[in-house]
Amino acid sequence: MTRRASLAMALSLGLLPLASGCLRFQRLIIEIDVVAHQAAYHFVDVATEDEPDDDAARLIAYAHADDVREVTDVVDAFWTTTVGKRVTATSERIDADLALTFRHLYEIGISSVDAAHPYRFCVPALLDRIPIASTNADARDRRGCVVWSASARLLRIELATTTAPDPVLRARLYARYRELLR
Amino acid sequence: MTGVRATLVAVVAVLGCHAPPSTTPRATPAAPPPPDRAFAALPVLADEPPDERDLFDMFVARYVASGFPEARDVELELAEIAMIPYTSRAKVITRRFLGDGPAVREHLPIVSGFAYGHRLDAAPRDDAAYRAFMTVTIAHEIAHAIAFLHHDQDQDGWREETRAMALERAALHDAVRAGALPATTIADFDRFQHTLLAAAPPGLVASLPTDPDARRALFIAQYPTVLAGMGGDPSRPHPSPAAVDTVLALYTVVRLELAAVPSPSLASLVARFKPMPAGTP
Repeated sequence: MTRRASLAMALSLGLLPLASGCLRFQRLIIEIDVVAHQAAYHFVDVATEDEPDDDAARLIAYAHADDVREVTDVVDAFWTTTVGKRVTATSERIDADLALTFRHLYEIGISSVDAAHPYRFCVPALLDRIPIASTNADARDRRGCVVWSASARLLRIELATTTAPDPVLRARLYARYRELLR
Repeated sequence: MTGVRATLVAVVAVLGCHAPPSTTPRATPAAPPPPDRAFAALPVLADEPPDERDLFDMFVARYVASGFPEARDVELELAEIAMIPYTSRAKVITRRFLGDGPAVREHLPIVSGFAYGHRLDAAPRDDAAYRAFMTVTIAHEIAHAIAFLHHDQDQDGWREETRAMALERAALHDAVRAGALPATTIADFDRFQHTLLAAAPPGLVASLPTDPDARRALFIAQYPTVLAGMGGDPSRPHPSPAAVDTVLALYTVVRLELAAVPSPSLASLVARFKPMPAGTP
């Protein structure tokens, strides 16, 4: 499979990119409007899992510097359309928001159980250490995914870890990111 | 693009800083959504039908029983996404093809457009054959994932694919022998190959080389073009329909050739892999 296709897959699954490298986050709130075909992701306390490398710092810097040309090229070539991005970074915490529109629910990793339960969210394998803390789903399945009935409109999921990022690593990531912005 | 670069781009796509969203897409539901509850407080869904993950688990069990314990380390990502299953970092990603969910109903047309140049749009509907095909692709992708774990992915794409096709065939027969799949799955799978052949341009199959080296050369010449042309947006013109037809016909011909001879046992194929690298947990 081509890199581009795998990238599209990662993007389509929405959450995978953040965990596919060394980045982690402490909390992620997802809101999906299945009627308006809009989704919002709020990442809280983005950090590295271990010693921050330049790639991690650079991507935050890229984000801050609005260097999204290549990303736009890629994203627009596939399904989702990013309509809003924002990074809030301090030495204490780096947060990020992403808002996007989509055409099909499968673009953002929502699958179905059956016609009565057309919406199902499973924590992607790469995020399996980040459990679902709360949700407005109607039920969970035997695999630990959450499902909504056909009457649902707004799907809300909150993933959260209990482990705060190492403050030293976080500060190093922030410092390196600031250097790259110069 | 390097792996690091691709990851970087992907993450930037998520975190990319733009102006603050001008239209934060928050829902404006007619009625307030239900309140959040703790995950543990949710009831467990009753009468959940089997899905693709059950098939994945079944094939993993067959691979493990046949001498590939590392198959336990292969992960599955399941989505209703219109994309050929593939492996990356010992992970199989497959799309929904069972059940009666909304995406499943539009599955075949999407796949037809995505990977088959719409040649399957007019094919006679044969759900059993299509399900069998998708079922076997899971075994195919697990084979690639095992090769990854063994550090034994063949850089020669043709050899890698033909090995995966031999393994998928062996896994299919093994699963049927074990009673994990209905015996009809084999015939269903082979029938789908004939559907693919019938959808190929006239004369293409007859024009394919029979010499293994010539096939390999043709596949390697066309495969990158096919991969480059894959995408999820049906409005995007496919850059090379002829290459897609050729590559897919090669897959199909090999699968039918494998169907015509007794399949070796899955266990007997273990020896074809390099040993697991030293120090692998």
